[in-house]
Formats: sequence, structure tokens, C-alpha cells
Amino acid sequence: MSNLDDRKIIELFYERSEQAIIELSNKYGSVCRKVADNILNNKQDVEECVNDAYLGAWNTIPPQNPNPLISYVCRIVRNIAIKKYHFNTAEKRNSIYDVALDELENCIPSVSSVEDEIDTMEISKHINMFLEILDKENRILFVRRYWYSDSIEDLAKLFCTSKHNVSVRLSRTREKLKKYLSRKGVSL
Amino acid sequence: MSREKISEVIDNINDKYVNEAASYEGKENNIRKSAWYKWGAMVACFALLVLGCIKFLPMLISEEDVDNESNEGNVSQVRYQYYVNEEGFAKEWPWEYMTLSEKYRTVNYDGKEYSIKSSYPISQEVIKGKLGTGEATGVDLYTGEKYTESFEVYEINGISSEKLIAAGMVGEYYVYQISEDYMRPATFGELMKLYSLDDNLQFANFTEYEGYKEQGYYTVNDDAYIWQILLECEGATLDDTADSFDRSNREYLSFTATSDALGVYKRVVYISEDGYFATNIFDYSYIYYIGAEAAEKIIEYAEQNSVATIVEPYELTVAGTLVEVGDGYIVIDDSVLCKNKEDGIVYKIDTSDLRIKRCIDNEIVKVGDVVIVKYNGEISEDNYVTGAYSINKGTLVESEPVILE
Repeated sequence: MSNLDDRKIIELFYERSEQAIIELSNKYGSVCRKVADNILNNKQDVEECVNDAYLGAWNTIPPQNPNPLISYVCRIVRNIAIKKYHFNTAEKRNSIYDVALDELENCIPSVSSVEDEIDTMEISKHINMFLEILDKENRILFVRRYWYSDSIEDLAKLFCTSKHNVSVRLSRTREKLKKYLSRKGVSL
Repeated sequence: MSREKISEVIDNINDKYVNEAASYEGKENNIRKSAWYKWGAMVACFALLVLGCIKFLPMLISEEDVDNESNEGNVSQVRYQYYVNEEGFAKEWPWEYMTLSEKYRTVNYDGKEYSIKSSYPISQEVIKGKLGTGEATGVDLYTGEKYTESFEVYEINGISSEKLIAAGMVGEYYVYQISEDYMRPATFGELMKLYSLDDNLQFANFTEYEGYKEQGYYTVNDDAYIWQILLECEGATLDDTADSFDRSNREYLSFTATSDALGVYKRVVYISEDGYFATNIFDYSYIYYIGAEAAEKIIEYAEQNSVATIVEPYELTVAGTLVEVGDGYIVIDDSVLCKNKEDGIVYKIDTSDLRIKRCIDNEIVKVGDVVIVKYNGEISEDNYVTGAYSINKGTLVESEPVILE
């Protein structure tokens, strides 16, 4: 089975052809399920989440014309999965996503004022600038761990190294981020 | 910080990093490939295969055709042994390396917001009277800084400024369309009037279809009669019962729709035997019932006043090894693709377009790389290529015998 290129898939969305969903699923179904599974850790929820994400893509393309398509659809999956996660698990913590969030708790400052929203955007902007100056491999490692919520084990396989090495590298990057945010005047 | 907020902060990580991480295939010496790795590789391979086939097949076919013409009586030979799969590539460019249309995605004019429709500059020929000035806005994704610029706004060749405008500065203008406009004109007459369709759209190349099966490619000599018929269909009403034009059980002609004024490149207009005019040139599917009689007249005319033609490639490309980077040009040698190396052609390519220049300045492509260049200009007799607007690295793949349906 060969996959259509992104431009063709988006053309199908613009034509309002339901084939668009089939092609999107063929091409990016696996990665979507992986992103959702890392957060939800429940097969049924994952399928629901991925189907909702396809509907989300259907409802937003057009007018959106995303390029690249993969990060656009993964973003929708992630947003839906996180909403579902909060709905499902107010108490229990049971996914890779939980552990990844725990790791970040100590390096991202607390904001609790009415300007939360602005502060959140400001911190995101600084994190993007931090990622820009980070070397490529550590940047990918950081994004895979905290955006995609990949497990340490999966990352060790991907980077052909030990789990310990991945943990240490992530820990060093978090420390660098903490210092970077501090230098940028984001109080901890 | 609450976990929800941390999640939100992380969620705002720039698309370019999200995409970079998604396409990471692991270290070269990674023998223990993860499921993710395998997935990534599969997607890449399939995407590349499809891209390669789409982009290079037409070139192979046309080469064969050229060979046929120059070697009458000989068994045709395809000159190439290899084709090039274009590597996927997505990069957010720093502000100084972005074109005007990439920088300013929206323009506010007369209290309304317009969004960029085409990234190709519009030709001066279709720009008409000045309407005023608008405020263009853009964001530098690297720094988060917002920019505003005063854009001149012009009418486009009889098209209602309620729909499309030409906007830009210092002689570089682009088509912008009104944002979030989902209302489709109720009749075909209204559609034609709003967009001056008969002035801005030409019927030339078309494909004959039965369902999804292509029956042949043709070029119609003169489209005046087609417009004469369509102008008589002013009262044709919008068919809003379907989200898209179902082609599966229909016989129809599919005309290629490229229009500078409308800001569209190689979209389609369908004329079906059962009486429909359908198009995607306005981004959504617009379907009007013009009647079986009118459609039949158009189809019959097109069939009787056209000549068979070869398939047009979606994009024009040259490919080969990048052998020299000069001041304002690059040199590509395609002998690496050829069955016989001595058949190779050396192309000199104009690199004045910012979209090419930025790839060279930032060493996205380097001497020794196999590259694909897209262009919309011409190749001169001494193989000088103008209008190059994209360059990308590629991978050589051996050509398989191709069976065309």
C-alpha cells in the first residue's frame, strides 16, 4: 500500500472527499495512535481519540492548509488526548505523559496570577528560543520526551543508547532550561 | 506550575521542532530500530516513492517522446536509468529569508481581513485600478515579533474586491482572498459576475474521464464557444446537496484550471454529461447544474475541436548532481541519472529567487548532493534554466519498467 503525499491528501480535504480521512489514516494512523497511547494508555480511548482527531482535521481543512500535515494532525491528537486524560484521570496517574510532566514540574516556573495565559505564552516563547539554541539531537530528545511523551525505553532504542544515558541527557537539558528561563527573567 | 499549564506550555512548542522530532529516524548505527523508527522509515519511503513517481514519471515520458521525435523509426529508449525521490523538507525560515507572501499572510483592507491565496506573484497584466492601502501583518516565528506593513491594494481584472484583491509593495503583488467566506453564489451567473470568470479562466488542456478512469489527454484549440454556452447558463443553480462532486459513476471532462488572476494553479473544472459544472478553484467544491444539453454541447465541441496531447507534469523539474555554486547561479549535471553517462546534460540555473538562494546560503543543499529543482520558466537551447523557485535534496532510485493504464 503506498501513501499519498501530503499535498494530495489536503487536496482531498479541500474537495470534501471522505477519501481524505482514509488516506490520512493510512499515512499517519500509526503515529497518531502512538501519540494518543503515550498519554492515555488505554486502547479504546486511543481509538476514540484518533477518530476525533480525524474529524477535527476534516472540520478545519479547509480553511487551514497545514504544512507539514504530520505535526498539524499530531497536535490535534495530542490536544484531544490531553482533554480526555484530564476527564478520565483526576486522581490516578498511569501514563508516560504523567511521568514526563512530573519531570518538568521542577524546571518550569509557577504562574498563578490572572495573567496566567500571557505568562504561559511568554514561557512557551522562551522554550522555543531555548530549543533553537539547543543542539539538534538533544532538541529532538526533549521534544520526543515532552511533546510526544515517548517512553525512556523507546528513546533509548531510537538513540541507540542506554536508558540511563537518556535520563541523564534529559536531566541535563532540563537543568539548562531552568537556567535559561532564569536568565530570561522568568522567576522560579 | 500546574500540570495543565506545563502541558499547555509544552503544547506551544513550535511546529518545526514537532515535525523535526517526528521525522527523526534514529542514529545511522542504530540497529535496534524502534517501532517508531520503522514507521518513520515506511512513511518516508512511501512518500518518497509517490513523490518520485508523480514528479519524475512525466519527465520520463516526455523524454521518451522527444526520443521518438528525434529518432523516427527507432525503438524508443528512455534516457534515464534512475529517477530522484525528493526528500521531505520543512523549515521555518528566519524573517530575512522569507518572501513577502510568506511574511504577510493577511491584509486588512476596508475593515475586512484577506488571506493569502497564492504564493506566486500576480502578473501586472491582470492588476487594474488602485483601491487604496491595507495593513499587512505577519509574525516572525523565530522571535515571536509581530510586523506590520502598508500594502498597496488593487482590483484584479474585473473581480469583485469583496472576494479577491491584489496586494503588496514595490512592484510585488499577490492574490489575497476574503477570509472565512463560506457563502457560495446561488447561481452560476452570480459566480461568473463576481469573478469575471470568462475573462479570467481559460479552457485548454483537459482529460476525458469515465469515473476515475482516464480516457485520454487533449488540448482544445479555442474556448470561445465553451464560454458562449456557459454564458447562457446564468440561471444555473448551486447544487449544495453534496460536499464534493462525486465522480465515481460519471462521464466528464476535467479541464485544468490555472489562472493568475484567480490565484490558482492546476486546479480543475469538471463538465459532466449529466449536466454539471463543478470546480475546486474557490477552495471549496462549487457545483452548478447547467443542464445536460449545455454540458453535452461543451463536451461535443471539446471532443471535436481538440488534439491529443501528452500528460503535462504537475511541476517542471530538472534533477542531477549539484556540481557548482556560483554567484547568482548553480550548475547541475544529470549524467548520474542516465543509462549512458555521456548522455548527461549540464544545466545552469538562475538562483536569484529568494526561495532558492536561502537553501544555498544555509547549505540545505551542497555541492555533491543529488538535487531536484522546480522551475516555472524555460530552458534555453544552451540549457540555462530560468524561473527556478525550489531546490531540494533527493535520493537516486533505479527506474522500474512502468506500466501505464
